Amino acid sequence: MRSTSKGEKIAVLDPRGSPPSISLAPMAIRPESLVGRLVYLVDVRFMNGDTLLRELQKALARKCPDVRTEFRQKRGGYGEDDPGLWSEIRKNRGLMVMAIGH
Amino acid sequence: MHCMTTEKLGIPSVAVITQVFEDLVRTVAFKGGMPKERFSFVPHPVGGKSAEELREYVLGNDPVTGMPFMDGIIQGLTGALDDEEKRSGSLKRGVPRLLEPGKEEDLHRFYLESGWTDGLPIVLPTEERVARMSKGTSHGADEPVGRMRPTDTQEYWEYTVEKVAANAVMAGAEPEFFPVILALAASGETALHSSTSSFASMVVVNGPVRHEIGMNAGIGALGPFNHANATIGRAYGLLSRNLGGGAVPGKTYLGSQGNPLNYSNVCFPENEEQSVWEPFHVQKGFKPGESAVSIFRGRGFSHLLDVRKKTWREQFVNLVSSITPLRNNLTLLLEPLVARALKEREGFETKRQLARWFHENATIPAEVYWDYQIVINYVEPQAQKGVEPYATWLNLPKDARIPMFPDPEGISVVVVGGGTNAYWFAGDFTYLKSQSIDEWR
Repeated sequence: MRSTSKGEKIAVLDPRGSPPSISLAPMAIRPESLVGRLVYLVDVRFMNGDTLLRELQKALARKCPDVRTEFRQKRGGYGEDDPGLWSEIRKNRGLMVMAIGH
Repeated sequence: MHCMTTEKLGIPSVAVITQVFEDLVRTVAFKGGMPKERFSFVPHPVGGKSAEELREYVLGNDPVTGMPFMDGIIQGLTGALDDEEKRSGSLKRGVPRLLEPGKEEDLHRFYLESGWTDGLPIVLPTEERVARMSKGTSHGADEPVGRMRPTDTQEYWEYTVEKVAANAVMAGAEPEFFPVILALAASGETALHSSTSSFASMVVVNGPVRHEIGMNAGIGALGPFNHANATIGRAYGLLSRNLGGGAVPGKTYLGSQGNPLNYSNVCFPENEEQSVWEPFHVQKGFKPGESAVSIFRGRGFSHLLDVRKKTWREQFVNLVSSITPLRNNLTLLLEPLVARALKEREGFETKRQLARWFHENATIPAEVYWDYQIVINYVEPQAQKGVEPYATWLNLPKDARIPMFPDPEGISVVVVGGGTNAYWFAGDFTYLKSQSIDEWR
């Protein structure tokens, strides 16, 4: 194998693989206020996130008494999808705060 | 991840994250096509904190933005979207085949600073060296090999034979090792899993290829004493880093303590010739004359000397009692002397019988099992969904005994070592898959 002399420029391969293209997705349109709205507080069942959300629920009740909240635990492990819950939130024109404890 | 799903469904969402994961979640959001996904942060950790302490988190300031946490939540749910948050379309990210030519010393520094190495010196992958490596397989340089990602929440990257060869060169491997490295790449299983638990990988080679490339299954097989063992394992780590979506601490690698086993990925061949049982790859459906590589994921080992006549049963249970029980995370690396004693003296005719013994005898009280945090995180949700046997176990009395390793078929036994003494290892490694090496010759 040929060795390079000091100072000689050599070409080498970029060792990285090919990342996929990113598909940009628009976010959900926000309401102007939370008055009269239902906010789902969704726990993913990971490391005490439920306790955090319960405290958030109390704080939200004090700060925004016109806002309704619903505490829920997502189905399955923390990475598992829960289409049924998303469908329910959507049907109720809800908003969501999700806590991912750690 | 879930919040991007709900945003796409038209549900305004805010994810509450602990501070140390800011880089991770912003990276995942960027790659998921929602670069300005809305987050609110609390101090780390949440786990182990009392309700009173978490109340302080909620009533205090977001440690990232500095604004009151609750104001951030309300702003995240109601603040009007800016133009970037409304964008759709596609962003392409290309990686060039070659870097700009440079001096050797400068290129070494560039590789190191780019995070493309494991911190140790590498062999620069020149076109000439990569072409030589590529001759170790009959497959074309441009042929796709597979795809890989650091964890389920991250994106897959894809790669060709030539890109795998570049990483094999960097590791110091020889062309004759290349089919084993290609098989590892084709597995799609990363050696650098991004779990906060600091996973290591383990690579076991079976079949004729072990002798063809001079691997060591005898004295010191798991240590730094053999070129093929060392560089195949190192190449697996490098290709996982560079081809499999990166291993950037805080973004695509979250192992809190890291794992020193990742330097070599515990790569060794089974000592089939000294084993009293069938080779591991044969257990997985390969023929003895075929070559295969098997991949495991775990964190570490405990050890034992000998198989004592009077108390081996108690000692075996003690050996694995330090393992955190999580599905089938037990792999036994038996020294040939140990395997022989177990078969000839204690009557274990097969590896499967030994696995069943550990399944039946390594048990813990239900109260302790269900209080393991990792069981709460990963097993309890499955139990509550009705997945067996966990659903049944959830209803057992506190003092009922639960198997640490629920499926005897998931317990692995591999024979390795040179017969200098009957020291052997038990590791919390889970078997993932076996891949044909012959397909990559």
